[in-house]
Amino acid sequence: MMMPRSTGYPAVIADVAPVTPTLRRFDIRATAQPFPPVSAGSHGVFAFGDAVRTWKNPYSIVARSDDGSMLRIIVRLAQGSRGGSAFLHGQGRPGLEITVLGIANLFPVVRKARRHILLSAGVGITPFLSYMDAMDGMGLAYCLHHYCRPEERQAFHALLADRDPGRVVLHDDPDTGRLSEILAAEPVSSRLSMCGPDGFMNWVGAVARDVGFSPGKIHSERFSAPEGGAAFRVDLARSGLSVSVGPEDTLLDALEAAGIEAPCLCRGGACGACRVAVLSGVPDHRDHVLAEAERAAGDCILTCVSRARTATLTLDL
Amino acid sequence: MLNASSLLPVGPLRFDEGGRRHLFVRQAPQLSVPSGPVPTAMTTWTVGGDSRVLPDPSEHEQFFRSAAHLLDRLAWRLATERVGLRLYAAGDDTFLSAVALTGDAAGMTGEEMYLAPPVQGGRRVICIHCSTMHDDVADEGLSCAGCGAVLSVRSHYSRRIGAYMGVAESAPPVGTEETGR
Repeated sequence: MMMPRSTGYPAVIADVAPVTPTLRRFDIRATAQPFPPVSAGSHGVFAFGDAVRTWKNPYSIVARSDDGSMLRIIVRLAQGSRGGSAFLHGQGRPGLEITVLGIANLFPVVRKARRHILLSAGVGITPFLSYMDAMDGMGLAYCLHHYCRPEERQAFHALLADRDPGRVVLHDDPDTGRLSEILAAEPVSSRLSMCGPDGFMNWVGAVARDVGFSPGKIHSERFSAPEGGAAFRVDLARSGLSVSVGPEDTLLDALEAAGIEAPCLCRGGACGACRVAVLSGVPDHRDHVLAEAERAAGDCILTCVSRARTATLTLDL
Repeated sequence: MLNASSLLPVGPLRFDEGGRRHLFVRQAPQLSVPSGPVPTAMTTWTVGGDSRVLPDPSEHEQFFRSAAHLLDRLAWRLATERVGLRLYAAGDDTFLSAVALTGDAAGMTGEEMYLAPPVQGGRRVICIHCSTMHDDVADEGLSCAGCGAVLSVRSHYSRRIGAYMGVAESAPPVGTEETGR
């Protein structure tokens, strides 16, 4: 985190434009100090809301203006999420206040590799928009293969219109044979980076391993939009407090609302910074960080996305 | 991840099932191929040590006149190689170092390159003071052939240089050198 969580960078929405029916682009203008430098692949945690509630959601940063006055993000209208993206799609008009709580990079460009193949689906294209700018600047060879629905093809074509057409390929049909051909034709130096829904990344990862990509040359960013679930209660062993987590709240949000200084960074189950020891109760793990053995042990939880299988959890907080 | 021992990574060779094509390069014909089921897409390159030898691309085993000849061809092959290749090497420390340098330069990683334990005990050592290379250094110390410094061989292999570090025993630790010069 580059700023204390309590302050952040105050900003407002300056411009909104639809990308596809489910994707919306927001340009966010800093209203106090400029935004810090942003490396390709970074995400920010954006706080916004109304008098009733506040969301703190992570979004990939598509671009930062050279003077640091503007950040651009693209937000997908998530089904079954806790309503943050629905709020932005519905209420996110120019003038809406947004605080950028922190900027971090869990998905940096592997600079030592000369050739990169980028694979994305849907909103997973967002980190690669900044990747392509950075790679153009660094003189790295790359090719983006983006997968979308047939009805979205025109919209993504427009989004990518100013890119080198030799480096961008749109697919509206996930054909395993074709993907296998594309990946097998990559030079031995090539690194693969992918971002998209879990099903997409599992598919790409399996095809990549099948053509002989070594595991260390496959890079991915997995974010979970935290989903709601049954309400539960956490008892905090150190402070002696009890905190209720509503069906639409995340555990992390509930802890913060109760004034607990809980650790966190990405707020998307991707970094592991919010890991807390579980003293009793059974966690419902929804992150992309813990190993199978750690999940089975059930003695820790990532508060940003995970919930409880039992009515109460006791945490070492 | 920090490799505290910082040695040239070697180990018994075994075919990597994750690879789709396999290339085994060896410094001498008697060095054995990797263990495990031999993949169909497997080629062996062997240094024949005979000036009349020429590689025949149609054969599964190709012979080369010298290690330099093989390494030159290896760099050319890797420059045009596609993803899915696994490279295995057997020979002495100098040969393995050269293969690792060639593979690294082509963008391969340690997950795609496997080096057998060197067949002779000697190491490749660079004098860090004058950059003279010494092959087959069996002892823990030597006199540099370039600048004459008495070098002690540190157990630190430089993957970038392709050699172990030879440091003059008389070189003082950092911070204790005389000042004002």
